[in-house]
Amino acid sequence: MRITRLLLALLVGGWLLASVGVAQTLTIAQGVDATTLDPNDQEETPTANIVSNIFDPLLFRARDGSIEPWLATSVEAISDTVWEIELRDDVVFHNGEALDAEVVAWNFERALDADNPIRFISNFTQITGVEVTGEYSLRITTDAPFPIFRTHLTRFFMVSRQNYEALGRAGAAENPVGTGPYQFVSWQRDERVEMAAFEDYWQGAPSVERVVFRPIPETSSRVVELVTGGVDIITNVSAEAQGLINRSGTAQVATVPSIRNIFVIFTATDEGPLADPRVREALNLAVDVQAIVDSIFDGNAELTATPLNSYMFGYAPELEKPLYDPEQARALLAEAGYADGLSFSMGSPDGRYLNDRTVSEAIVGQLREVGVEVDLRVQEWSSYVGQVLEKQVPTDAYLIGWGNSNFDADRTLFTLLYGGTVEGGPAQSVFSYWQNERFDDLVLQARQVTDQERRETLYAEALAIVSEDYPWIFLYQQGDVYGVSTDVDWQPRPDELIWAYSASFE
Amino acid sequence: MFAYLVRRLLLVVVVVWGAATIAFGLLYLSGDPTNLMLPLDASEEVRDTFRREYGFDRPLPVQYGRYLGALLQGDFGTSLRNEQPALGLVLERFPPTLKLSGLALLVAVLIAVPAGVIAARYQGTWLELSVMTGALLGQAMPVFWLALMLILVFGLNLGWLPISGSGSWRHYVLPTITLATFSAASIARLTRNGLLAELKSDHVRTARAKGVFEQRVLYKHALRNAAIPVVTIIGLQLGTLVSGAVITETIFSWPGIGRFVLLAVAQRDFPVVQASVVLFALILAFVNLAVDLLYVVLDPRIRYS
Amino acid sequence: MMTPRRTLRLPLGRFGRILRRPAALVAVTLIALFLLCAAFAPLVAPFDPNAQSLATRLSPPGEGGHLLGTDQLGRDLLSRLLYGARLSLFVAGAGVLLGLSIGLPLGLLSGYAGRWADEIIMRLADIQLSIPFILLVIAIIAALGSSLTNTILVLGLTSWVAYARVVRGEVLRIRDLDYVQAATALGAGARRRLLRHILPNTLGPLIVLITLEFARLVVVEAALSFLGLSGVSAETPSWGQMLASGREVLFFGGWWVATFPGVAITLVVLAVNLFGDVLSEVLDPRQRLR
Repeated sequence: MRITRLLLALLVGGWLLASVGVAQTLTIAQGVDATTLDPNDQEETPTANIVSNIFDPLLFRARDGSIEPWLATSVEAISDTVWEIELRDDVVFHNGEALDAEVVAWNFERALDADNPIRFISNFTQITGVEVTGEYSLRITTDAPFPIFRTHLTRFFMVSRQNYEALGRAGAAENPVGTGPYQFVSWQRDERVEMAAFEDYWQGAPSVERVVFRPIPETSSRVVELVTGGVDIITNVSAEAQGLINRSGTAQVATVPSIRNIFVIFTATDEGPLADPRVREALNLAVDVQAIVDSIFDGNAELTATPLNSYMFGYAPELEKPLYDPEQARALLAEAGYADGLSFSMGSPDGRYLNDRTVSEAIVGQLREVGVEVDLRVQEWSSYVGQVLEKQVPTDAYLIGWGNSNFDADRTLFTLLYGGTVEGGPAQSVFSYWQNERFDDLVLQARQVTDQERRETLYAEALAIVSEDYPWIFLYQQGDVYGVSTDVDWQPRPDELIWAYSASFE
Repeated sequence: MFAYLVRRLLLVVVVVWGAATIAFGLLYLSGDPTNLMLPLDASEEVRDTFRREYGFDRPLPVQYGRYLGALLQGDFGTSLRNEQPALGLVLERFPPTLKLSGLALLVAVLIAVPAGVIAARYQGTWLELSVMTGALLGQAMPVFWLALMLILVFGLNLGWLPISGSGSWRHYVLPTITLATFSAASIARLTRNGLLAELKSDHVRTARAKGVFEQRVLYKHALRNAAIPVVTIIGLQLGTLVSGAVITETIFSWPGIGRFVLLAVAQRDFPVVQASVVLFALILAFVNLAVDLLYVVLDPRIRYS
Repeated sequence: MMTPRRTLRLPLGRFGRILRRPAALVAVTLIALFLLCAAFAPLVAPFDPNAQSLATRLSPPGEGGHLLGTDQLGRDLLSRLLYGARLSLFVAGAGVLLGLSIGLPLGLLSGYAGRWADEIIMRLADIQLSIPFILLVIAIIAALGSSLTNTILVLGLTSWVAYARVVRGEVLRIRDLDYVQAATALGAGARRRLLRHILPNTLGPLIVLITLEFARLVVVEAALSFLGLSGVSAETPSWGQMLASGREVLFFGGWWVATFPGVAITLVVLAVNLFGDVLSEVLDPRQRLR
């Protein structure tokens, strides 16, 4: 009996001690773990979220999408093919190593080394020379004009050279050393990545002392962990869970329109009903996207009537218009000779985008209302995307989402719609099943001019063609939904990045 | 006995080779990993570089030859997704899974065997009825349904237990219950059925006729014989628990091999999948061998030559 | 010399007696009920299972004439459950048939021919068991596409081992029994021995196994749906798919969407397992009631 009491006292005492002494920890739960902690050898958002807290890029993408000076105070083009980079002189790595032009040049050379390629190499294929011109300045030469160089620099992270040379490529990928606000503590794969505040951070020590990233694949489990206080920030909250989170009193939902658009690409545009633009328009008019957004996403998504959204350069708000009009859809179908209805097949992923499968089923239901029968085929993502990229999609249409990492119209219009009709120009894009000579011409022209206003007019005309010819069913711009503990002050970003430096406990 | 062991070990090699080859073929059928490893808009040039780096541009027989050659030297290659040696990544995931499935199986046996014995001993009473109803329910419930219900009750409503991760002993409770339920249910039913059959068999009747006490009949004669199918099923479940905990590991965010292999297959991380197939094959083969050897212990009539 | 021919006696009399046991009665009634639902779904279902109504999505049970409520797209859950029975039972049944048609001949061959055939088939079984189920599923989906047929193919391909092993075991046991030896002595050919004497006697354990496998495949199909790997078409879903998509709202104001298909799966599996128990008592001579 006495022993039991003693044990109990010890336990309670230990618990009290533990709760007093522990630093405040911000725990963030995403769907999957990091693939690697080498910041320039990864391409997935969850990994980028983790490494961007340990490493800094040369330039920073602000929340509003603009590009800010960061480790580099300036990055300027002094001619079409020469860029000059000026660095801050007060930056140190977590191991004490100073950041100077030599280290940055070494980072560039690592990303250019074709014998030992890292994933980032694909962004720098145009770079031909790296030259150190001063202690904190260097010069980059390219083989042709490289207008999106600055954009790439926002995702190019500076790695400690000493650490890399001491541990090697594989070792440094497990024990990362950067200049970021948090220094690496430990990584238990598929369980947690822990990091601690870096007191000598060049912008001042961060407010939150410890940050933990945890992978929790099942959405419901993430939500339950959030409302029971196990974690502080969760990603990808389903619309259904939002009510529970807001009612919990321990957490709230934070939303932001994402850069990602969701739409249906028509593939059977060569012959058959979908080759007729009137039919494609009718299908656009028959889908009540607003009703889908209201019921499935609780209103948290923006309707689109063009391939772009407001974050992107080239976006034309005047072309956005309400599309839903089932009467007009029936009339158009009758005019095209399908008064008795028609049928086609459509593919959909399941679980890749928020509620993607439910959205596809709702589209099918709404098209049935105007006499269109859709054979919906839901498929596992990895084989789905394989078929898309090999241009072997077995259905007449397929649903897909597109995030634009450049925030520029070219990334969307050229990659998704360029038809390859220009003689001597590039071949048709794998995503494009639609051809329009004028459109192709405009998109290629916009690639060659540097005058931004001129580019804007070119894109406006190209967009107008798309919005009249309906190569897709335009759906919506996805909303990213996070769950955030009420103790934490943090705002989500449109590019899905979770930057703990901007978070604080209330 | 020695010759038998040598022969069995040789067959293990054959089975591992077969599994590795079929896995290679299936992976080849499942498509090009390049598409999944690179961003959707990567250029064809970049894709070609990637294929060259990992040898996917070579003809199939060359790829197969290289793969087998490396395998013979114990080299499973580098994970496409993680850029780390595949074997190390796979081995790292085994201990959490083994701990969880081992515990689940232990719990299952500790509950199920006595429950099965009770059901057989008290046949026709409410005791049997409740044990068997429980067992049938346990076997019939889909695993993820049970897991979600446990999360709902013990995580969300009561807040007693953590529902994700593997940090402390408390993290083991819910996934263990989830995994143990199905195993316990089938082992309990098998134990009961086996015992009932044995109790009616001739030699038990003889023992009874000779006046041996009921308890002794149950434990000494019947249980020993009824243990053979139970051992078989435990062996089978050990094999599937190692690879088959995918759903439990996913729902409870357990850092184990099932979840890892699911992701590796979905991402076409060829080296990781191949390494895990070879390891599965080895484990399964040795579990089978252990089960066969256990038969000898349990039933003196069985001899291997 | 008399040939003590032991063929399968379908013990209908005994079966009738067993039916009076409550467990068996429950099992048979449940199974009959589900089969009837599946067969007469179009007549019984109160609504079109695919009729959507976003305005009345997630109505709780009983509201608006929806006895079991509606799902995320406002479809009537009861009607979908009834139609779902067709698909779930069909997929599991077809999977069993395919597995059986591979496993039975291989098991007979393995047990009867012995030696090399036996060794090869049993090692093939080991190899089969070493391949992760998920890998096989994804490879088939990627190579052949996602469809109902391919889901059945996966279920069949992964379940033949159990049949082969059980049949082999039974053949080995029966082969050396006196009456088969006697038939051999009387000059019965191998084929005749196999078909007339051995095959019928493997039926007992085989039928029990079939019921168990059927129950297992219902659950496996549900698990495939959970992992997003089922090829069952989206519009008329199986119970597994209803359960999988219902879990998104399970904690969040829509418990019924996943609960009813979950209950349906549990009941079917329970009933079939129970039925299997009864059958094994009837058919397995070792367990006959005395």
